[in-house]
Amino acid sequence: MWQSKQHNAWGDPSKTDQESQPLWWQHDPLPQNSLMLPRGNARSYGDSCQNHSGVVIDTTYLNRFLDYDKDRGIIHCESGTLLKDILALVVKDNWFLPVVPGTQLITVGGAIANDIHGKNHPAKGSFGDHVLAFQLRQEGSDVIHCSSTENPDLFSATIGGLGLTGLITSATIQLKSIPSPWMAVETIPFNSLETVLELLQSSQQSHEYNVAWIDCLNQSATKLRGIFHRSNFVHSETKIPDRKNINIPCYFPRWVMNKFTIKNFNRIIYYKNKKNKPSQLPYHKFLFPLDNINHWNRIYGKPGLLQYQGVIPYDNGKTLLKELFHQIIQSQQASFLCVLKCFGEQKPKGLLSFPMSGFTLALDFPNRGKKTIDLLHCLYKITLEADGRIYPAKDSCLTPEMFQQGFSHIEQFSSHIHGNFTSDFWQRITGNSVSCKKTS
Amino acid sequence: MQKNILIIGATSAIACATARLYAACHHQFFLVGRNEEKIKLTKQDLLIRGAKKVESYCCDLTKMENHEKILHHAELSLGTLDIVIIAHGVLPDQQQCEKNIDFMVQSFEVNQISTLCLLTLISERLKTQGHGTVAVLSSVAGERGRKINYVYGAAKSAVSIFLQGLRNRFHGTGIHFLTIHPGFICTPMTENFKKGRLWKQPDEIAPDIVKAIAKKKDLLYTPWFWRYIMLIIKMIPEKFFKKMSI
Ligand SMILES: Cc1cc2nc3c(=O)[nH]c(=O)nc-3n(C[C@H](O)[C@H](O)[C@H](O)COP(=O)(O)OP(=O)(O)OC[C@H]3O[C@@H](n4cnc5c(N)ncnc54)[C@H](O)[C@@H]3O)c2cc1C
Ligand SMILES: NC(=O)c1ccc[n+]([C@@H]2O[C@H](COP(=O)([O-])OP(=O)(O)OC[C@H]3O[C@@H](n4cnc5c(N)ncnc54)[C@H](OP(=O)(O)O)[C@@H]3O)[C@@H](O)[C@H]2O)c1
Repeated sequence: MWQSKQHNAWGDPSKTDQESQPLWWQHDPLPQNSLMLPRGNARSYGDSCQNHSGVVIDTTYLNRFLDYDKDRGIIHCESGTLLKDILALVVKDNWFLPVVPGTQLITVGGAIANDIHGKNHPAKGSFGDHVLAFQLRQEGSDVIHCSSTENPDLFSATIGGLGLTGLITSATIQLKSIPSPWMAVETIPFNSLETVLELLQSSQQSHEYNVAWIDCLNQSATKLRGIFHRSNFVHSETKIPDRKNINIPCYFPRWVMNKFTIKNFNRIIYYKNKKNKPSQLPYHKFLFPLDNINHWNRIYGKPGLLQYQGVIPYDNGKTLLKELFHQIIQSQQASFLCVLKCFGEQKPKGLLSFPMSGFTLALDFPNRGKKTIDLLHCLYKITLEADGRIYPAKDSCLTPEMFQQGFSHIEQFSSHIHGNFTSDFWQRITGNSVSCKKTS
Repeated sequence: MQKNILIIGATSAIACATARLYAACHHQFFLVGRNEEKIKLTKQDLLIRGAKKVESYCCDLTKMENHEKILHHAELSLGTLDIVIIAHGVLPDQQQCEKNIDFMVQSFEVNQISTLCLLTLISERLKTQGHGTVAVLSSVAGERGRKINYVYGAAKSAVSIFLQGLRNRFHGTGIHFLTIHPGFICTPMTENFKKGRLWKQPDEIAPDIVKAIAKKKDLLYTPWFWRYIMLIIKMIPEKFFKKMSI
């Protein structure tokens, strides 16, 4: 009853007048004479899944499985299939998606178009690294088959291509094998940035999944506290339990997310996890902890939330992270979701893929208008001056100059944008519209 | 226990969502639809989701001469028919129905005549078989005539009354007829409607359909609150109702 659809970007949960047209079957006609943008499950935070200059094509009903090779672990499905449904099908055979984000409620199309990453980037790269092929539709042309050998340029432009090169109708993905759907998780509390950076880097040899949760409200930049988790899939004969979901039925009033409540919430998380005891968890509990609270974005109230996610090269990484934390802690605006992960050396396949070697920091802020945007711009500046980049999937306020600074293949990418495809994000960062996310 | 399921109008969004739940329990299917490509995609999807076997037949259901063939092929494929779901239908443009009787008659053929013919043939077969469930997608629109969709509503109303008759006729025989009244569901049929809070997704109502079939219910409103909405709507005296715009 409560699964009803997300109609807008994740960070901006209030309903808009955005025109949306569902595509029920792969071959149904695309809108004509209209600017369009494919949309998956609208789990991108900002305007990269919005298109007010035309229509959004809702691909979530394109969710059929087309082929599943159980022996080789290869799945072919339509682009609107949720990662959750793929996992529910394949874990029974001890297969898993090699790369998953912090939620399994996203579509294959969205995973490709943002070339998403997980907690295991150094080991497995990003989603695009495991896509063997996909089918792309552009207005007025037949279906285009893309892979590293067939239309390779369009293949790499579409991975991380923000939905601008056409509509992916189906994709073939190579799965990875796992011993069972259970994960052995170690939880290690830490009290300084040095410790967590050391843990993040040293655990890469022994553990595939590594992530640190940082409490940004209860300390100073020099004495960061938080919880570090590392994990591997392990063998187990036990059946994984079903999970029960909680639902946030309506928007919370704005005052709910104040400094006091968040600070105490962080305290609870910290002390609850402080006992450093290893445990075995079903994969969804470790990888997708927030998914059992439907519509959790509503606790930020109608103004929604803004997220910062950037990547900072390892050289000088510690100093720059200190600087970022200094700004964040001083602002006292942070919320309880702040995570630090590592990216590996491998070059992603996509022209506009976000991952690059370095530390990646992601955190949510309740949207308090200009005050929050000023803080984000300050964090963006620090990131970009260090030759880092900002993640378009999470962004709502990059300026055209900032975007140019982070991505070096923009020109090459632009030649693959299909004429009728655009998004609010693209309009903004190409300077066609200067509007930032509504300022409260 | 493994069940044999015949789905008529198998590419309907509501039918597909329901079939997926049965597929996960490894049942066997025979699918009937008119579009080969859509049937092929549906078939493959159900097989991957766990269906033991899926076979199909493609035809236009308003060609009544096909109905015997459908059932013949379904029985050849499945043997007995444990569950039959009838889901095909169209939502005709009401204004066009008011001006063009051919168009209106055509919509009755899809929504009413073809379903009544199928029900007649199926119930005879189930009688021989001695068991089985027939679940039919009727509509809340069939419960009260309204200016915006009375052509569709009248056809569905006949289907509901026909099912009541069958239920009465077959009482005590082990043959079960379920009338399903979906509320507002987002499917291709309702694509052009402006959607509000009452609208649900096909996969949100599919579990209700599976449950009602298992529990041998006579009538299902899904989502549940439509039972109360319709209760109120049916209680309004005609004297007032005729003046209303709902
Ligand atoms: C709780 C939470 C945790 C997250 N954690 C992570 C994380 O750890 N790592 C990470 O990388 N991201 C993370 N994200 C972001 C999320 O994974 C990405 O934004 C993802 O792209 C969303 O997919 P979606 O299906 O919702 O697509 P949307 O958000 O609807 O669309 C995303 C982009 O994909 C394009 N697109 C969608 N479908 C198609 C298609 N069929 N053809 C072509 N283009 C298409 C759209 O045009 C848009 O540009 C997280 C988000 C949330 C809410
Ligand atoms: N959606 C709602 O809100 C709602 C509410 C109440 C009742 N219902 C009923 O639920 C049932 C399922 O509808 P839905 O909502 O799932 O819509 P849908 O996805 O549009 O399904 C309708 C199906 O009927 C098929 N069909 C139409 N005419 C046909 C014909 N002459 N021969 C063969 N097949 C034909 C269509 O085939 P193609 O795919 O080939 O076109 C389609 O598969 C219908 O009986 C409808 O009246 C729906």
